Amino acid sequence: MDIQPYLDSFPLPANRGILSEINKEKTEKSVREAMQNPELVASELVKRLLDPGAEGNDIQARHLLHTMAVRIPNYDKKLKGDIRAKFSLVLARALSENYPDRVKAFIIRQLQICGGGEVVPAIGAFLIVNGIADDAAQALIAIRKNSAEQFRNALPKIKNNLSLYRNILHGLAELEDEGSKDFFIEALESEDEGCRLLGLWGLVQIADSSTLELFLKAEQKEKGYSRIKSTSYCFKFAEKLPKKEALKIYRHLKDTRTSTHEKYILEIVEIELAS
Amino acid sequence: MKSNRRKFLKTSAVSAASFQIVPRHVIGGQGHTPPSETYGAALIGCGGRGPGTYERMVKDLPSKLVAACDVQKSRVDGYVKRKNPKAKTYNDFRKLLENPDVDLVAIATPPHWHALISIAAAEAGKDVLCEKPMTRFIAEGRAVVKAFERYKRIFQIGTFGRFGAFRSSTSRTIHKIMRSGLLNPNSGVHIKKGGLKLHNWSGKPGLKPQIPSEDLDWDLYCGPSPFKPYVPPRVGGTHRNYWDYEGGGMCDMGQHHFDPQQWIYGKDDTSPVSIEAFAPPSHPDVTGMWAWIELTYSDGFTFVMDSNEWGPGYDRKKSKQVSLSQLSEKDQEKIKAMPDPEPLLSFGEAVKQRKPAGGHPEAAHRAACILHLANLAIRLGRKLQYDPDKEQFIGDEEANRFLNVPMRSPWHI
Repeated sequence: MDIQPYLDSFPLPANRGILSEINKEKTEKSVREAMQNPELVASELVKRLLDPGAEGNDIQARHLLHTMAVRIPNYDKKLKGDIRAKFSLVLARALSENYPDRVKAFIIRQLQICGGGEVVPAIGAFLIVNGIADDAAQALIAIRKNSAEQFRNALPKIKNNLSLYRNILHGLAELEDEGSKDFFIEALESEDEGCRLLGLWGLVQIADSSTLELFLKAEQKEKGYSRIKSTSYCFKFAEKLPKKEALKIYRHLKDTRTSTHEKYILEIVEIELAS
Repeated sequence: MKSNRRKFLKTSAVSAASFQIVPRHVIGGQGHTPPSETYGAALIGCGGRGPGTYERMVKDLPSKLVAACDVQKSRVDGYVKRKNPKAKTYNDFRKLLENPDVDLVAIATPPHWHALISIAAAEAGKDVLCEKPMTRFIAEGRAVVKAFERYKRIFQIGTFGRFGAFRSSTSRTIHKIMRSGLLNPNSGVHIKKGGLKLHNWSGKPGLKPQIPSEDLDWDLYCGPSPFKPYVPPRVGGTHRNYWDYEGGGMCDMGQHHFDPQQWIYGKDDTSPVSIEAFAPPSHPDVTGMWAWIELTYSDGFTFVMDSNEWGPGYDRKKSKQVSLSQLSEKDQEKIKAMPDPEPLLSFGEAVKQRKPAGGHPEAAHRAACILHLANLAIRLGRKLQYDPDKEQFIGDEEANRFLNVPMRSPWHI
């Protein structure tokens, strides 16, 4: 399939390097026509994507592929079909091919926009790959459906890689994954400050009152900025719990925030305890 | 347990008006400056607008620069050298916020950092003046509102047109008409023609990646946004041209224009329900061209942005100001009998009185929402229906993904 006419309708940088010469009529016509065969067009567009900095240009290919990703959910609704899923699966399959990492990252970002549960396993495979793992995590968080399982499955494989471990804890916390309670608790013992904070935040996100004692014991050990954050997690946890347990948190703050620099916290706590 | 939005707004409005927490420096104690002396002030983001934002923050407040921070070492060093060589310098805002001598924080980073640093500053007990646009996406704004409500700190957005609007008796009358609810349906239309700098803040796609200077902490610069290969325009004023950090001229200039209009038209606590744009397909990375956007509120009142720089001009509706003559004589009397709205407090007065500033978080958030909704109508290429209470698009799950954009680990709202 020759997609060149579609690409030609999209602009290249004009004066000052910006896309000021874009023509709505021509680009919209190309998008409409591309949407007649979204799978074929997507597979051709993927082949045109380049590693940033490589010889040539893929400005038009990226522009059209992105436009299709943004618009296909709406086309899908109009047609009451499954073209969104089919289009997404074409992109997902490209992730297992031999493209540069930054090309795969771009494809994942398009799936972040249009993908559903059908592409989650293909993206999840990148949670253990340095350099793309954060793109994959953010796409999975956006898609949400079935995503937590991908993070949970990846966790045992990356425990020795601090940045990947943090990335996964972060994803599980964002997804408020109740099945990750033990992972969050384990993270409280980490030597890494960032992991401990993610563990605390994860527990706040799932707001399981059975973890409260562990949470309070762990949070009071934090210093400096981490203490500022762990205090904020205390407030957020309290806001999610029934009043009786919330009061336990406020009393804990009253007992532990005794430094002169933390008087502003005590004032808030006093208001909450009096309410 | 999630709180009911309407109840939350009502509660927060009441508590915001009544909280009287004494600022940290007034409390005194070891490490704190006595109240009779000065506020410890800090600047985060020392390039571009930074120094001006700082000066605006400390206007009318006895203060001293005690700390400054920038991800680019030469910038923070240069600023401190000029302003107060004794001030402490930081590369990472988290370390600055640990400093108990800091009472006030001016935030002038690119907008992808505004919400996170504002929230962290409130959590650290600081008052904040934050550059516009307030946020990069809508969920960030709600998180800022909640944080300042939770910590009872002062926040002022870095645009001040609403203070001028308040001084106009015509604007105050329109404000009262709008807040009274007597004009419903409302056929008012406010059109902003030009001035949103499309060409100035359109990005250059396809640039060749480079290695950032050793002076710049590129990873920390990217922060919550996607980690992308470095190209020089991503840093400096041209950060506006990238969706990763801002939202083009719409976000650069939009809050200046629509923040006062939002106050005049009494929309500080709500958002448009219908948004439609005339724009060509948007590029994935860089901001570009658009012709117009129409944003309609639930009562029928309409804001329009007409770029006047690309495509056809807006011709669906004509500009129509809200006025007393649109009401019955009886309703006109009711408006005349209404008291004027409460004066808007400057940041300095708000800090001293421990009352909300004129550009408080909810108002600033709602003004930023106007810009974000407009940009999303451009980027998504479809008419959007928005629920201003739930702050979600209606029946458009994929569009909702743009309202709460996942952040890079470990950042979160």
